[in-house]
Amino acid sequence: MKRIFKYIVIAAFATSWSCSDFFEPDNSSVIFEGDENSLTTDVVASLLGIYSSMQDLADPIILLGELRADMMDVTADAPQELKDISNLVYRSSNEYLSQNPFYEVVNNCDDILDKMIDVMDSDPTFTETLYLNYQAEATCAKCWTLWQIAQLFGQVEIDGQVYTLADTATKLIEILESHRNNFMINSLSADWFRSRCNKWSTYALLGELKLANEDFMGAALEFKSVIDIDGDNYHKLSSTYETSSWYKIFLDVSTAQYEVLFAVDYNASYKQYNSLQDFAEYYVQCTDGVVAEMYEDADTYRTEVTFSDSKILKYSTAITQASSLTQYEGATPLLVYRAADIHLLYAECLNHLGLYEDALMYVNSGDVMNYTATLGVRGRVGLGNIEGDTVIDPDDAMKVVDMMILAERGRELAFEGKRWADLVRFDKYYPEENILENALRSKNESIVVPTETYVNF
Amino acid sequence: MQGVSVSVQSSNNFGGVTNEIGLYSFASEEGQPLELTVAYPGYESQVRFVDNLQKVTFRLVRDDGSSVNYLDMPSGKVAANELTTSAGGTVYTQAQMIGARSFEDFLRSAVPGLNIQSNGGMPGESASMMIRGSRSISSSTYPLLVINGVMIENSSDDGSNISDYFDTALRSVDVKDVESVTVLKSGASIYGSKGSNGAIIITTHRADQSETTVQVTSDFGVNLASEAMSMLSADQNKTYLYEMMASAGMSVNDILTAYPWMSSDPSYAYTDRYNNNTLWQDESLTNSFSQKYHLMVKGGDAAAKYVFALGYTKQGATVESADYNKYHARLSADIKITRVLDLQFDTSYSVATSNIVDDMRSTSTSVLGTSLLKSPLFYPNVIDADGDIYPTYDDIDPLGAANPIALINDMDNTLTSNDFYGSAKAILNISDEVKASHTIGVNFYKMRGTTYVPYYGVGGYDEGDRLSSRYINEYLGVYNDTRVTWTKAIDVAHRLNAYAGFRVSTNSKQQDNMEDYGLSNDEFKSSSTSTAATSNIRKKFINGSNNIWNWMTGYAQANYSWKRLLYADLSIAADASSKFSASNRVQYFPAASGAIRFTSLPSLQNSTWLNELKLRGGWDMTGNDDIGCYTARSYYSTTTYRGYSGIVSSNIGNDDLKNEVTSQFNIGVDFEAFDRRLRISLDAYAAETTDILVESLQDQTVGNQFSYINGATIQDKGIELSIAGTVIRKNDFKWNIGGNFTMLNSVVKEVNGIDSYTIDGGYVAYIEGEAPGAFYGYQANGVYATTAEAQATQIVDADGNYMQGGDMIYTDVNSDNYIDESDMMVIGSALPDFYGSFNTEFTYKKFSLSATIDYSYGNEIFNYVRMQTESMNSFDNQSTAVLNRWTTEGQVTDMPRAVYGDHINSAFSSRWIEDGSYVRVRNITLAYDFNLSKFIKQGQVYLSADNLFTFTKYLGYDPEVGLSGVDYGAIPVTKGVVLGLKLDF
Repeated sequence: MKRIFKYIVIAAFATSWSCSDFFEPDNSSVIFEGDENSLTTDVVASLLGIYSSMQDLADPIILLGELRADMMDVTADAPQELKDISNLVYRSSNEYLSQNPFYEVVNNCDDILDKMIDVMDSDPTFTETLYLNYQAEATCAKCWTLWQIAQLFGQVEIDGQVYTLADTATKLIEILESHRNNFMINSLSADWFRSRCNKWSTYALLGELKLANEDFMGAALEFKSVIDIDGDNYHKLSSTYETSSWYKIFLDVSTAQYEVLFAVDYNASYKQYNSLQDFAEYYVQCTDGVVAEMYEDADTYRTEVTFSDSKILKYSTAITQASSLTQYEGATPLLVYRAADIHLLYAECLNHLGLYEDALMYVNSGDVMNYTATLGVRGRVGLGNIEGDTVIDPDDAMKVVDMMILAERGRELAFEGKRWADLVRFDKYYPEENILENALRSKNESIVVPTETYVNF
Repeated sequence: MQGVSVSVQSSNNFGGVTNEIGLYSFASEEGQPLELTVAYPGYESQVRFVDNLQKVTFRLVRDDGSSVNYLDMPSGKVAANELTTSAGGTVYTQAQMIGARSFEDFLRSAVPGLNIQSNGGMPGESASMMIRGSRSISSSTYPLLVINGVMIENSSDDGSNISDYFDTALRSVDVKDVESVTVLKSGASIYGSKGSNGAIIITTHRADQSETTVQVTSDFGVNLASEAMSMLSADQNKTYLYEMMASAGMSVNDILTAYPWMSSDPSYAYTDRYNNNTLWQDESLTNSFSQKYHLMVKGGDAAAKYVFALGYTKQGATVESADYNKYHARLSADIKITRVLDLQFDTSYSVATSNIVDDMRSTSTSVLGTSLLKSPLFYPNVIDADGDIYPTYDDIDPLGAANPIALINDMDNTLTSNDFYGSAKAILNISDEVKASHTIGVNFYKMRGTTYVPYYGVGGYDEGDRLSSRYINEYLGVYNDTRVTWTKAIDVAHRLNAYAGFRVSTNSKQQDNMEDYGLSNDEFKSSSTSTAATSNIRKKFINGSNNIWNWMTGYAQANYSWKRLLYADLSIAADASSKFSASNRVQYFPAASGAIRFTSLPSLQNSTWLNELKLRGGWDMTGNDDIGCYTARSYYSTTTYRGYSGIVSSNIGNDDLKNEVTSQFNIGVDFEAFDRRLRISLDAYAAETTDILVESLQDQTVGNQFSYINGATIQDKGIELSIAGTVIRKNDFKWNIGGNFTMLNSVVKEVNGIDSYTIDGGYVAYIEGEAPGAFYGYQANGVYATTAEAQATQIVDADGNYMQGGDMIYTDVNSDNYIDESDMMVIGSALPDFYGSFNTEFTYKKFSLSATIDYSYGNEIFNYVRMQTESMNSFDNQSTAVLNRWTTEGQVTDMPRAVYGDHINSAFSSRWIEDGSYVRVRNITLAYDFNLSKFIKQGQVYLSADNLFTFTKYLGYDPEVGLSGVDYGAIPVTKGVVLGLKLDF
């Protein structure tokens, strides 16, 4: 009797000890921690995973960047969460104000950054050059995401330490700077690199960070390296998107050579949608009157793509149907950086460096002297000079030109998520002008303008 | 009585029969304890321990089959009067046996403490089932199934191609294959982490004699269409539409421009097409038929015996496109290989095809939903300008509603399941005292769901296009159980039965889901006929999942009894599962229970009226390991970016996760008197389930918003009573009555995590001190009669507008004059205060008449259907209840005003919560037994009626909506009549 019990006990322990697989069974549809990243292809897959997690950021970035600002408003049907955002009421229960999707991206970046170096041991094809290239890519993705968190929520946790908005730019520059020359892709025609962080998006981010620190020279140099001649590999306001072709910018990232530096891409064929089309269809609209007042009558190529009455068209089927590219139905890309944005940022830097005439050249019809292919932001859509008949007094030029640049950014980049940050930045340049408050009051007279420009609850 | 066999167990064993005056006498040593067993054919055998014998009187009781005398327990067959835990068995009454449409139906009224509710009228759909209280938040509350000694994983609990439709886990067992069922309510610790929801132990028929017998059963039934709900007529609907369109900001001019047919102008080409009075429910609710055939052959010889059963079931439902076809076969064999080695085999195979329909949540594809909400102005077929009716179905109407008749005829939702069970058990009879056995069981289940959504007549579907989809779920489980049993009678007084064993189980489950959009025409219904590369399929989605889990348990139990007076049971299981991290892998589940049988005391042994008085009590600890296969582990999953594969971290594991653990005290009394004509069993229990899995909000920097933790505690306690009485027990005339009653109270004690969850249309919450899963919303207190009255309250709605006349009056819980989510409160619970059943059976000569009545009291139902038919916020048709809607200042009514796009008056509130109490005549059966010839040993014809009468205040189609208590408009439970014939050869 005892012997039988003994055998059972021995059998039990033998089974449990001899095959640990029994308690940690393999699975063909997930990879458990510890089993990942041993080949170059795994590293690439992990990098693509970062972008697929970035797809969740389009909604909060556009909503927080536009709906809080002066150009976008809610419709009557909008859920309370969106109405709250529009009224600058922040409740932690508001799902659009969750930081989770941002940190999910950061954690995916950290994960691959931690593990990438070990792949060099297990896969000889993973060379040091490749390693540095992918490390730079993941670092850029991480820093961009952290920068969004800092801007939206006022503080950010970087590598376990909390930084306030004021300190974040310096810290991120320190992290990112050393990677700037490690990218392998130098050609704009390279296969779909625009859907991934690359050397130009790194420059653009560094430029933004330096601009946030009001290092106008540093920022200008970064932006210049995006739009400066480098063989044919510079971003320019090209004739591809001139006048009636301007709408194509918002369609297909993979063919948006010269214009798009980096965009988070979606594809309806793979069930990857963003909700922007739905939002534009049902819940958000142009602010009454404001949008119409912002545009000149001659600005037809941009307005026909941007809005119709109060309906926002930039993410709507009006654009996607024109292309017959069904994979973009409900899946328009999130344009993170594009050439017009960088040109205007560059102009802003030049203006603050005292070169307001050069700045206006980029806003107007391009740097005709140097870069024949660059049409200028307004020139590309067939408009004349922004200053029109105004004679700019050199003593007051910086402020006048800045206002022109801000207005042009509003028109060119409408509903692309940049407006709130722009208003906040220009408001800081000229606190006496109450730029932010005036803009918000134009949408909602009774609005209480918060002392902090980030979401804080 | 003469000829009763008496056997005496003492220091030596002997026996004999009683004489003509019913006396049997023998001599034994003075003071020598002995045990007497008396038995007589047709009567119940009795065992009694006697300390000091002089004269013992036994009153024999006729065995009329109306009580359960033996139960299949984890340890084997146990006499019901020797149990120490709470367990109930079933007795075949005619009504249960014949009227059962499914195994769940059969079990439904059998045992107090077991709550079974159909989720609707789709045959083949799993019923919701719960033993005692609801002891989990996110894990399953479905009891463990043990079929012929093999623990069965619920392989179909992942759903199907239709939301919330679950294939029944009991599909492989036909009621007629079953010999006995035990519902184990306490002491399930031996099942370790599978035991906290109790267990249902099913044993199928085995051949007990070598004679070959054949039984054939066949029946045919008619199911009656459900009664239609009262919806607005064409005229009423048009008036309502005008009002609603005005509320949407349209002028009469706008309306007539957008919908010119609204004017009924005969010169307009579409006036005939869009001005009808179609009773959509009458078009879609239908009578249907059912058929059942069952063949069972038993036979064999002394060395090998077999049972073979074959069955076919076809059942219709109240919506024409829903039906169920099942074939099943079962083979059981018992083989005596040598004197010491026995083998038992059980195999079963079933193939079932169900055509199922969406409930009302799928607004554009639900037959019942569109039948209710589509305007009667429209017509199923196209009507041209001359008023000619075309054979083609009309497309979605100008208001956007789908055509239910097109859905019935052109839409497919088919589910095919294949289920194989095979088990083999080898029993080694080492000695009289020691037996060893090994069981190996295999279960293979494959379910394939196919859906086809046509283009015409279906509006607003996801991708607005023809859709063909496949859902495949495949499960393979292997189960091993090795056990050694030791039975020892130390002397006549002390008896010991002990066993110990070891179970190992490996399981894998795989799901694949495919969707094709944009098929070129209605003939291409399957992705296999065309691929994206060769046809114009616009979009193709494929996804799936793969789950593997393994577990092992070491277990031991000892049962000790003394003089058949005192009983003590001890058991323990040590459980280890791949679902947990190494640090939490092994958990122990002990149990102890005991009983005292007062009727074994010498003073009560010879009572002439008292047959049984037993007090039972025990404590047990059980677990629930249904936490998800990989919830505890960190893992990455695949994703795509621009069509290329990526890897993304998708779960951050929690090493600390462990089983949900239930600790339960149970006390019970069994009482039988008057020659067992009165049998009462009363149980009371109190259980506390701790470490319940809840979602917990993470620090945002973690990146995952939620993770699972063991963070909640739920207490449940209850009283369970079953009474059975034999009123008349004569040879020609018998009358049995019985009933059971279950009262339970479940309360949330603690939740450290997310305590409210969104369900379709509303919220449920786990609030301390309230019932688990209670409905959570606004308290509605009628309608403001005047705007002045409303505005005097200064209350503002969630949109920031002042309440006005005709708006709902909601309780402002926090008195901040703002109705928002902080004003939500518990507004009802789906758990009944008490429930149970009555049954009665008359037998007169060869006729028998039986009836079963079920009742449930105090459970609330969230009437989602009524939320759709009374919200008055869209162009959907509404019920006639909205004729009372508030329209003028000063009007006193409980129906608010109609507002297009409203989400305030129609918000989730007590307005939609109804009393779901009911009394239902579940079944009435009349049967007649006959003997035709020598060839047909016995025959029976029967007529059985199901669910004919239901008494309830509930306003929906049917108060039986499943234990979740939400009526999503699944097709109602079938009622009907069955005529059948059973022949034994």
